Amino acid sequence: MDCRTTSSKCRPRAGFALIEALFAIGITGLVLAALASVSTLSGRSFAALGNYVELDDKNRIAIDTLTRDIRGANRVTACTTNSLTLEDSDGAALTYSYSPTTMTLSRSKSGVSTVLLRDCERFSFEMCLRTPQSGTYDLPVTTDPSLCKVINVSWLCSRTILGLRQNTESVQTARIVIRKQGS
Amino acid sequence: MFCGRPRAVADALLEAMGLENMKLQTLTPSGLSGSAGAAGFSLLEVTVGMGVIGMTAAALFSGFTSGFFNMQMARENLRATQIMLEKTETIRLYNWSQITSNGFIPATFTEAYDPHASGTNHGIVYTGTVSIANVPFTNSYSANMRLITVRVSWRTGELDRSREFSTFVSRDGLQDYIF
Repeated sequence: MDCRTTSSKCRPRAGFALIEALFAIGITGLVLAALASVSTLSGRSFAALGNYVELDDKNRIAIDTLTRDIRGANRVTACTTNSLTLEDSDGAALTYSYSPTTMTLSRSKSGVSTVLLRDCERFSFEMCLRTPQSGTYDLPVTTDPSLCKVINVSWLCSRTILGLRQNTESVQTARIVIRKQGS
Repeated sequence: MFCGRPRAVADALLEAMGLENMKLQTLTPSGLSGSAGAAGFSLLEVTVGMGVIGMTAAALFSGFTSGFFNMQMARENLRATQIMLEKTETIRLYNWSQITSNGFIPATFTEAYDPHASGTNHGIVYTGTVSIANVPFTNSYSANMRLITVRVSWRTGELDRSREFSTFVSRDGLQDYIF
């Protein structure tokens, strides 16, 4: 039969009962919470994977550049924990400097400065002699640049995702022997 | 009159558009039991739908798990490569008598993933060996050469892994080259 809204004989359409509405709201809430948690976890995972790939890429470039420069340098002219100055093969000064405040490692030569690393939490240079000791791979440390034959370098770069550092850090260490400098 | 019968007008329009199935269902006084078009999802549809969603979620999370595991393997592999290169670089500094004297170069070593980390959490431990052997060929200068092999082993989860790096060293070679 047709239901005319103007007829007083028709029963009104049934709406939702309170219990139905509560169930619907509860189920909707659960579904939305599940979607939100899946989205958050997925986003963090994608960000962590992307961060690692980018960190790995930058760190490899940095270690390759640093290794090439140190190996080919004529000699070390100055070195501290955060800074290394070399006399490059063309005689020009080549400086690597780490800034703990900006957390960057920069390479400077002939007035041109480039940032090799960002988000670098920890960085250190160390000079060593060329005299190996029996029974150990450790080399004697020196503070005299004229005696330096080996540079030890290590750093740690990291990124955070929502305040967490998990899976987004990259550790690099290297021991580089200067090919030319002797004594 | 159209204005007096909105329901009839809507039905007529839907019919004209070939959408008879979308006509509004008339409620019977006894409730909804007579309206087949208002049916929700059947149990089979819900089951299949949940199965598809479950498989999608499982694929997503297994992809993430696999990605993180591969990332960890790549990271540890890179560190192992650095350790082997450090040892190989050090070998450049040994002279011939040090290379040929038994015990001057340590045959084993251990390294941490992050040796400069604060506290005791230095990450996984790499164990390594350095072997010095005669070269695998015979000629006039083979007595003045040695084959040095650096091998590093570690575990990623339950997986045993190792990498190896070999180089030749000769008497009066790079060690004696001083610019």
